[in-house]
Amino acid sequence: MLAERREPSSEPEPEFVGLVERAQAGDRDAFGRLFRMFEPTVRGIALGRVAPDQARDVIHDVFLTVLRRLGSLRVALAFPTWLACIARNRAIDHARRSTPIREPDERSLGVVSLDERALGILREIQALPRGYSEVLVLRFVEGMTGPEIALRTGMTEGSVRVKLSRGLKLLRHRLGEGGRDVG
Amino acid sequence: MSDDYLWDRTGTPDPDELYLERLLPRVREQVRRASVPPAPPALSRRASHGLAFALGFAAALATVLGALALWRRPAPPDASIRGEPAGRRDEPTTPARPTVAPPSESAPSPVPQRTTPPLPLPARVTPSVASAETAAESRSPQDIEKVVAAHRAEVRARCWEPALAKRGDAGAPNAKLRAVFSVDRSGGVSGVDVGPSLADYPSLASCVQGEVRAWRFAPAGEATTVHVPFSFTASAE
Repeated sequence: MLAERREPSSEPEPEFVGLVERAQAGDRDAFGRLFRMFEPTVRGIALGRVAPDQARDVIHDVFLTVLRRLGSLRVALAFPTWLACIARNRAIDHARRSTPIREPDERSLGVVSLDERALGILREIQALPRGYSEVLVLRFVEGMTGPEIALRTGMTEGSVRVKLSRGLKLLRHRLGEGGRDVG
Repeated sequence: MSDDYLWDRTGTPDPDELYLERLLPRVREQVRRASVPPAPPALSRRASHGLAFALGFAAALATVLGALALWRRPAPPDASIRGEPAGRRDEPTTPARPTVAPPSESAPSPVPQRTTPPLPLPARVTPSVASAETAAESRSPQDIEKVVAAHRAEVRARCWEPALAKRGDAGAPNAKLRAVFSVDRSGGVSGVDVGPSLADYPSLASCVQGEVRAWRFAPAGEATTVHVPFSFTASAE
């Protein structure tokens, strides 16, 4: 794990570092830009655990927490890891007290909308072991590539790659159990 | 198979990955829809209350001034012919609602806004299904049922009866399949899945798949996913 860590000295400083430092100094515009930059990540992490109608609440809670605690973050470069950790905890809290995504009605001749189909697959993704669901949502719902997921969540690229590959395999297996719905 | 496409969208994409890439961004839209109406932060709520009060006051003032102006103006000649009360024609039937941006958007608060700004990330594969969402009409279950009903007898004659004849007396006298497929906007069928082939009727699934693939539906504004169960028995479908 440690061997896979990025070497910050060999790469240009990510854009968010300056924004974090400015936001810590009270720059509201910088905070707004951080929000815009990381909202998809937080939404993806939330959607790994909660239904879409609750994801917005998670996002709101996460950024309110960030706003309150940003001053306590010592290393700006650690912002993505710190933020992802807050997002996971908030998503877990919301998932505990919320109802899961409801199953679509079983119909003898069902015309299933694409929204329902997407929700059905999201439900299967959420049923995967932790970690897999998060990267799959970031990849397929948020449209991030593996390197972007690593950058935005603070995970190592190796870890993201493995989770994507295994997660998709597990998802195929789950969807295959009830009839192959993908494809 | 290489995971290059899964990793960074280089290399050859897997059909399942493309399907997920097209379908799942719809969930983002559901998050967006779920956020209406937004719950503005405290500062914005105060601002919105103030704004609502000001607008209400302005509307009341405009009504009073309008009524005063109408009272002073003679009624238009044709108004009385149609039996309308004087002044009614000039009165707006419904007061134009002020277009007010949601407070959370207008307030300069760093607290997360309820709109989703553009993603500052490299371009992703454009989801073709997303554009379908804005299109006009979708297929009704009745439209689908009509086409399915028109083809059931064909499926039975072309797939079930030959399969039954091949089976002879051995095996189960019935078979069940469930076809899942997409109907695109032009009405064409794609991605037909009928599950694994049945032990007693090995050719049945592929035959049904081929039949369903040839079905044509009426064009519609959005793609539709359809599930059709087939239950065949030796005596009747």
